[in-house]
Amino acid sequence: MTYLILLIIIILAIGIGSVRLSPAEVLQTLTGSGSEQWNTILWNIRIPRVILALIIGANLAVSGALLQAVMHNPLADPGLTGVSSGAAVTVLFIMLVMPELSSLIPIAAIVGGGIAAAMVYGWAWTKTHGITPIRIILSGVAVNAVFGGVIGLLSILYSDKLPAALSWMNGSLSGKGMDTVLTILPYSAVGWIMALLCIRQANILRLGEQAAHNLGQNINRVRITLSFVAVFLASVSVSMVGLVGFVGLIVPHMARMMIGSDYKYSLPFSLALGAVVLIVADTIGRSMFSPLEIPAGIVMAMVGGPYFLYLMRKGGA
Amino acid sequence: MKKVSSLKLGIIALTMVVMVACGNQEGAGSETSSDAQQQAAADTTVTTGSEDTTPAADEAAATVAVDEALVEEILSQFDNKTPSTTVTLSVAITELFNDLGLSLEGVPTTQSELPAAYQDVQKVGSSHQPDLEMIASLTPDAVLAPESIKDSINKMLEPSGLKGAYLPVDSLDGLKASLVAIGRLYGKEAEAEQVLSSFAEQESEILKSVEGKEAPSVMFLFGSTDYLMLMNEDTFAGSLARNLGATNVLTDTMQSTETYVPFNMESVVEANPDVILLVAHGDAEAVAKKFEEDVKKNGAWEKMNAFKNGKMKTLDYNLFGVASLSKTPDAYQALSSVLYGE
Repeated sequence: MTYLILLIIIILAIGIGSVRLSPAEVLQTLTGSGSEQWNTILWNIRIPRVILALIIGANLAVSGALLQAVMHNPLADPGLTGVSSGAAVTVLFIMLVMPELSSLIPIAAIVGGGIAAAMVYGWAWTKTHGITPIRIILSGVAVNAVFGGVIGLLSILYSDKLPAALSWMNGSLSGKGMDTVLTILPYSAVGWIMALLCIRQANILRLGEQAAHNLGQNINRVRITLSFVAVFLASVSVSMVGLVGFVGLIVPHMARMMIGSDYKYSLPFSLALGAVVLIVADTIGRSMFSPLEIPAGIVMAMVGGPYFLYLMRKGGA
Repeated sequence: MKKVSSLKLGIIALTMVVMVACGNQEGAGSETSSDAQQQAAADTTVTTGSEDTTPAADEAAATVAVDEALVEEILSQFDNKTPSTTVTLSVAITELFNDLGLSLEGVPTTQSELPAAYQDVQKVGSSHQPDLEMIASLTPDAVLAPESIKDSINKMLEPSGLKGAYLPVDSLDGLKASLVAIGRLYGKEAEAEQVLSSFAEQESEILKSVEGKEAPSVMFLFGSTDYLMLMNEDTFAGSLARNLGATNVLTDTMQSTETYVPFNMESVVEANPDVILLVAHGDAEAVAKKFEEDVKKNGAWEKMNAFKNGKMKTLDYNLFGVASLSKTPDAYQALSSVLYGE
C-alpha cells in the first residue's frame, strides 16, 4: 500500500517542475517519442533528481530509525553520530582549501563521516559498561561541537570561496545527474538489505536493556552493528548531496505514529516514507518559487515540522 | 550543532550570495578545472598559447588595451560558433550584452537591477542555483557564467548536457576582455570598440582630474548589519580606488593577501584610514548606522581620521555591488568625490 503511494508520488513528481509539461507530453517523452528538449528536461534533469530524492530519503529515514533503536531515544538522528559534521569538515576542507581535489569529495565525505562516527563510539565505550546510549549521545554532542567549530573556522577563513560550498551545506539535490544516482544506488541497496536483516535486533533493543539480556543478546554487538549500518547509510547520502537535515529525525517518528513501533513493519515503512517525504520536499522546493530553487532541507523543516506537530497532537508518540 | 552552524552559515550565505555577484577574483585558482574545453581550442586564429593570465589591473593610462590572450582564451570555449540562443547567469555578463545591444533568451533572477531591455526575458534562477529545467527548455547553445563560480556551475550543467562558457567579469580588465570576446563572437566588434573607447575616454578624464592630489588611505567595508568584511584591492570597488591613486589599508597597512577579511574593530582603529567606505546590501542606511554605533560604543570613534574628516560614507550598491563596465564611470565619479572632495 505504502509502496503504491510512493509510486504515485514518483509519477506526480516527474510531472511537476519549473517547466510545465502536460501529462501527455510526459508520457510521450517517457515512451521515447518526446522532443529533444523534453528529453533533456525529463531524462537528464528531473528523473535523476526524483530517483536521487527517493534514495537519499530512504537512506536517511532508515539510518534514523536504526539509531533511535540503538540510543533508545526518540531524538536520535544521523547527525548525532558525527557523520554529518565529520563529512562536512573534510568536504569543506577540499572545497575551500584544495579545490583541485574536488573529484575526491564523495570519498572524503565517507572517510570524514566514518572517522567522526568512530570517534563518537570510541569515546562512548567503557570497559565496564561497553557502549551505553547516554554515552553515545554525550560524546556525539561533544564531537559534533568540535567539528562544528572547525566548520565555522573554515567558513570564516575562506569566506570568499564559501558560496560554492553552501549548496552542499544546505543539502541541495540540484544539478545531479544519472551518474550520481548510479553511484549511490548500489551502496544504498546494500545498506537497505543490511537494515532489513537487523529488524529482529532492533526490536530487541526496543524492549530495553534488561529484556535483551534475558534474551541472551550481546547488547554491545547489536548496538555496534546497527550503528554501523546507520552510519554507512548516512555517510553515503551525505557524500553525494551534502547535509539534508530533519529527514532522519522526523520520518521514523511519523512511521511509528502511523503504523506502530514494531520494526518489522515500521522499518520498511520508514524506508518508503522517507523516500516519499524527500521527493515531496524536493518537488516543492524546485517548483514553488521557480525559477528560484529552495533546498529540500529547508522545505522539510518548514513543511515537515508543522505536520509532525499535528501528528503529535493527534495522539501518536 | 547543525542548527547553530546553519544559522551562522545562513548569515554568511546572505553576505556571500551578493558578494559573488560583485565578483571575487580568485586569480588562477579557479582555472584548474579539468574540462577539456580550455585546451580544445579547435582552430581559432593565432593563439599565443592560452596560459593562465592573471589580470594585473594596473593600467591608469587611457588606452583601449585589452588582454588579447585572455580574449582568445574566452573565445576558445566556443569552437568558432556563434551561439544562436544564449542564457546568462550573471548580472555583469547581462550588462555587457546590453552594452552591445544583443538579445538574450534567459537572464538570472536577481535583486540587482537588470537592463530594461531584458525586462521580459525568461528568468532562469539565481547565479548559484540556476533552474536547470528552465534553462534546458530554452535549448541554449551557450550558458554564460562568471569564471569565479565555474566549478560549481559546470558540475550542474554537465549532467544536463548544457554547454557552459565562463567569462572573467570580476575585474575591470576581465570585463574589457569579456566585452571584446562577446563582440567578436556575435559580430558586434565595432560596437565593442566604441564602448571601450568611450569608456577609456571617461576613465582618463576622471583619472586626470585626480592627478597630483594627495592620495588618501581608504578602507572598504562590505556586508550587512550582522556581518561586515573588509575588501582589498582585488575587489571591483577596491580596484577603482586603486586606479584613483588611493592606498588600501587592508593591502598596505594590514598586509593581508585575502580578498575579503572578516571585520574587526581593533584593526580598523589601528589602521586608522583617511576614508572609510561601506558597500552595504540590504538597508545601506541601517548598516552605516549600526557601524557608527559600534564605533561610538568603542570610544575610539572621535579619534579616527575618517570621522574627523567626515569621510565615512556609504556607497551606492547599484554602482559598486556588481562589476559593470557601463556603470564604472559613475562609480569612479562617486568615488573620487569622496576621496578627493572637500
